Amino acid sequence: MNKYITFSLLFLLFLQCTQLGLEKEKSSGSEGILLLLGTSPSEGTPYTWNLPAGFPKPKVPSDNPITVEKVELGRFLFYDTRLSENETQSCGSCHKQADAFTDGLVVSVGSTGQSHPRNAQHLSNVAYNLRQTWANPLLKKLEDQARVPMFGDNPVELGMKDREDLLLERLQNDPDYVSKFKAAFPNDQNPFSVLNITKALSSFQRTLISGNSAYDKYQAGDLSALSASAIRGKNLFFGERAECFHCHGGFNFTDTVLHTGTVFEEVTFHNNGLDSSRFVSPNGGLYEFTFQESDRGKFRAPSLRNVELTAPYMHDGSIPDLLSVINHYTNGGTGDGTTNPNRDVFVRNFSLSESEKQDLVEFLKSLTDTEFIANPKFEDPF
Amino acid sequence: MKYLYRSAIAALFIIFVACDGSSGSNNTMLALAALTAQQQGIQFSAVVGDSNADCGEDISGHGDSQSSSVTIQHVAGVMPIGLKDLRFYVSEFELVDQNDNVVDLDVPNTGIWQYGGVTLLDFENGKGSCSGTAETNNFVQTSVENKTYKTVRFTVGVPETLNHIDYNNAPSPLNISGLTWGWTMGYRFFVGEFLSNDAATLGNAAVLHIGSTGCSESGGVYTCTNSNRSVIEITPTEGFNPYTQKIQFDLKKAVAGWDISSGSLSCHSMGAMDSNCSTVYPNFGLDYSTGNAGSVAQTVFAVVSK
Repeated sequence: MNKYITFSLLFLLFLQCTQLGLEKEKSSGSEGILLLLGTSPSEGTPYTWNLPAGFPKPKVPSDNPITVEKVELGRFLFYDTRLSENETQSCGSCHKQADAFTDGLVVSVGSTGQSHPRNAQHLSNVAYNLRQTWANPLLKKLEDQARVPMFGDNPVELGMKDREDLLLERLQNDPDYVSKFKAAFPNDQNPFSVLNITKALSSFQRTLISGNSAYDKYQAGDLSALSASAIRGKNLFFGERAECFHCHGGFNFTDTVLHTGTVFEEVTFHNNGLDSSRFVSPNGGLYEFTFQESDRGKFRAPSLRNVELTAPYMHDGSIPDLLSVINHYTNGGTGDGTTNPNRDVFVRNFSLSESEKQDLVEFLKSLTDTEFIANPKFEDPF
Repeated sequence: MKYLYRSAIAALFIIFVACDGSSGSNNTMLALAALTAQQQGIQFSAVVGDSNADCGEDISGHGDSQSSSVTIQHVAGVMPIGLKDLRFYVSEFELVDQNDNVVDLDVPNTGIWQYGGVTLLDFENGKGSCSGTAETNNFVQTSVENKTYKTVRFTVGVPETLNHIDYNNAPSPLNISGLTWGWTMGYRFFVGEFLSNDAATLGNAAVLHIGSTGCSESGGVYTCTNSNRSVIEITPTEGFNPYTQKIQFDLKKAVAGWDISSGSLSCHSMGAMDSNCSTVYPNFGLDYSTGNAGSVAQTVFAVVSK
């Protein structure tokens, strides 16, 4: 009997605290009820996609509809060093607009100085990624991915593990964020939560659409947009000699895309013939998740949009420039990667003349979207 | 009736202290700890050999004796260490009585340390070299009888049904960033970290993170080849009475086989990439290659007097 009394009193206590608004994370229960009633609450101003020709509409998670207000909040959060424990780094520290949102480093360095095992990914058209990061098959949504740099400790990136309270306190104490969070999450009694931070960051990242390169202009009918060399390179790229398009095809120059029309979600990872010394811990690739030897060294083929700006290349940044990448592929790999049993069938020795290699480089450079890297909507607002 | 008044006063006290919003969470915890003394359940403690696993001070006295012929280095031998983190989830409690009846313990949701039958035991307090928060918990609140049982069983881990829930929206204690493992969309079941405070090896660290790995997802359903959940079963010769005895975790035994005197060591449960794991997993009764429990006897937990 006594224990029931104690329990019910304790229950009362928690009820009290909830009513007093002391709970840390907002419950989304009320939204759920409203949805059940068919009266989806307004979450702000719906974001209007201004997509390049030929680009499908990105698929946005149903629990995080994209709004103008979330995108705006997300832009501030993306560039805010208060998102790192020691206030030295933001998302933008490793994803710089001028570099198509990568950092130009071989591997990134976190806020505490720890090196990341991987080369920072560029964020052009990240909205279309079926999987985020280089080789993680589990990280599908940008919302989930955002937690890794914030709270991960192996390696430490932003170093916010166990510091959610500090993070929320910093943001809550900024009047500018009070209004921005309220505008972005008007239905939330307390809009300051880790979940909402990830939602806003993801919303901003989804707007990082790049599709106005010289190549796109050429495709749209401006035949003068590409040089003769770039056109020769394009034909090699899409032809049966170089066969680059098998892994880097479609509007986004990769083989895994997600959009509203996607019915079958094909997820592929490839071993591209890098030397097996490139797959040592913690760079095992897909193997890290499946523990299958046949997955060792398999990574996601990144989009080649803005590839000129995203050097150095590969998951570990081991190849410094585009010509070296092409030499890697014409050689059928590097080091013992040429004989790796996991090597993708499309990675095989073939010959290109030096001028043909240069043509390919010219074509890859034609994927650079100078408007994207100068777009004030993506700029650091601080 | 007397008990009712006592509980009512204690609870009212907590409401006033905890909910005025300004007095911070320390008071809540102190008040809850005061009440815990009256609650039924299973108490835990954490030691490093002969020393308590306390934050903010050198922990020593845990090294095994060294002689000219035998040098057994546990927790890197005799070096003083500083705790960085020590937290783990426990679940699936069972007691076996003297008649071999198995009693499944009902672990209620408490809003703080327990949810879905899972309890977070938290031995770091954020002081000194410890990470995390000031709050600690060494107690599994559950109804138990004041009698001597033959066996106590529990799992170190979050059950698979909860291991991949949306921790953004999960209730405490399944929403703590230090225990969530965003990279695998799951939880770290066990987090134990310490570093050397010895002048000669200052900063060499040991990091042991145990969680399910080899995970894939299809249609929202996760499958993990390596569960990595330790199933702890303790059958003391004198039995186990939760009213007079507690369960003791020994970090020294957990990292038996690791020596950080010559460099840092870590295990993140990530398969063959983590060669150091195979040394320490058996201490938890786990086979590292399969992630299965029961292949060897665990040595890290024991029943001791309160």
